[in-house]
Amino acid sequence: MSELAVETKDLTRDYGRFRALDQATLAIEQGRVVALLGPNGAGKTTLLHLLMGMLEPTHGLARVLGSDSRRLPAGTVCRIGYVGDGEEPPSWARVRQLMRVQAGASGRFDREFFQRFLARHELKASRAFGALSKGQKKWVRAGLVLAARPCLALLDEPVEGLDPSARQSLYDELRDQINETNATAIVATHIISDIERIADDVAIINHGKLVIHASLEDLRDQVREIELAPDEQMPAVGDGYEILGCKETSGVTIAWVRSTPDQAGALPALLPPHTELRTVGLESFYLAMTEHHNTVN
Amino acid sequence: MYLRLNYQSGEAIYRQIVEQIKYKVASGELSPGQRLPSIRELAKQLKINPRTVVKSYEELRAAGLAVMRQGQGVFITENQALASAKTRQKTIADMTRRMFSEAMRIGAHKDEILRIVNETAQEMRENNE
Repeated sequence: MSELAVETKDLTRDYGRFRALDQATLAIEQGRVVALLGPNGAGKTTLLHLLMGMLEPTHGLARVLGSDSRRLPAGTVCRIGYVGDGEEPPSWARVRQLMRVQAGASGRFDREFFQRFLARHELKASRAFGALSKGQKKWVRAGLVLAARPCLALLDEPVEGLDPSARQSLYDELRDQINETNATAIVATHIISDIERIADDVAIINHGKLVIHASLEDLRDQVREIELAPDEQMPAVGDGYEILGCKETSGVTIAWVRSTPDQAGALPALLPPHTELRTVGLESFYLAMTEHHNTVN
Repeated sequence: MYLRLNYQSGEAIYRQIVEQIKYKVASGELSPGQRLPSIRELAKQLKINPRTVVKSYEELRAAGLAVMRQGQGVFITENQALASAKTRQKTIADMTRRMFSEAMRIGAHKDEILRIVNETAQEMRENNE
C-alpha cells in the first residue's frame, strides 16, 4: 500500500457555536486526485484550511505529509501548494514577481513549465495581477502552484471562471503531474463533470459531515441507480447492499444502492420485474448523497 | 491505440479499456503479438491513474488475451486462434444481451425480437447484394 498523504481522525472545527466540520476521519493515499464535493458552506474550505494549518482543529487531528497539521515544519509547508477561493495575491504585483516569490519559497519551481503555462493563454509575465481577467487570475494562480511541484496540492475551486477548454487543460496538467511525481491533490469544486474525468477518489461533505470517501472506480462498479416500475416499492435487499438514498417522483421510486464487491452481480435478481438498473455518474451520485441521502442506515 | 472513454457514464474506466481492447482484438485491429502501450503512456494519453491501466492489463491477462513479458511490456497473446474465437463469441453475446434486455424493457417478447433479428439480417443481405 502507498503511504498516506493526509490522515485525519475525528477532525472537528467550530466557529463559535457553529460546527463547520464534524468528526471527519479520512485517509488519502499518495498519488491520488481527490474530488472534494459538497454544497456551499458544507465545510470543504474549512477542511482545506485545517490541512494547511491555517486553522486549528477544535477536536481531533490531521496528519499532513507525515506531520501534525498544527505544527507543520517549514519544509513541509513549502511542499504544500494551495489555490484558495477568494484569497488573492496583491493586485499591483506583476506575474513575474509572483513567480520569483513562489520560486524562492519552493526551491524546485519549474520556470520553464510556468512560462509554457502562461504562453498557452498568451499571458505576459509583465502584466500586473490586478489587471488580469477572472479566468486569467485563476490560470496564473494554478500555474504558480503546479510549477512549484508540490507534494500536496490543495485546490479550492481552481477552475471556476475558466472556459471549458482551459478547465480541461488545467486538469490534464494536474493529472500528468500527479502521475509523474506521485503527488496528491485535493480539489474542492462544484464543477463535477470536469473533475470526474481525472479524479481517483471522491469525498463528499454535507453539513460538516464527511458522508463518503471512496475510490471512483469502486463506486462505478458497486453503485447502481435503480428505477422501479410505477407504484412499485423498493424491496428489502438484505446483507451486502446498502441503500444510499431514495426519492419518489410521480409514483416512480428511484433508489441508489451500493453493493459489496462480490455481491454486485447478484443485485438484479433481487429486484421486481421491469426494474431498470443504471450505472451512476458522479453528478447523480453526488445528488443522491446530498439531496436524497438516507441518514438512518 | 485509440480508445474513447466515457468518463461520465458511471461505467468503470478499467472495464471500458478492457472491453475496447477486446473489441479491437475481435475485429482484428489489434493483432496477435502486438505490443500494447506502456502503462505510463496509456495513463498519460487517457489522463487516468496508472493503477487503472494496470488493472485493465491484469484483467486482459487473466482472460488470456494479453501476456506480460518482464522488461518488455504487455502484448496481445500470440496463440490467438482459441482466445480470439472465444472473445468474438463473448463480444457478440454481450451485444445480444444488451439488445435483448433493452427490447424486453419496452415489452418485447423473445419470438418478436428473434423475428426482427432475422428480418433485419435478411434486409441487410439484400442491401449488400
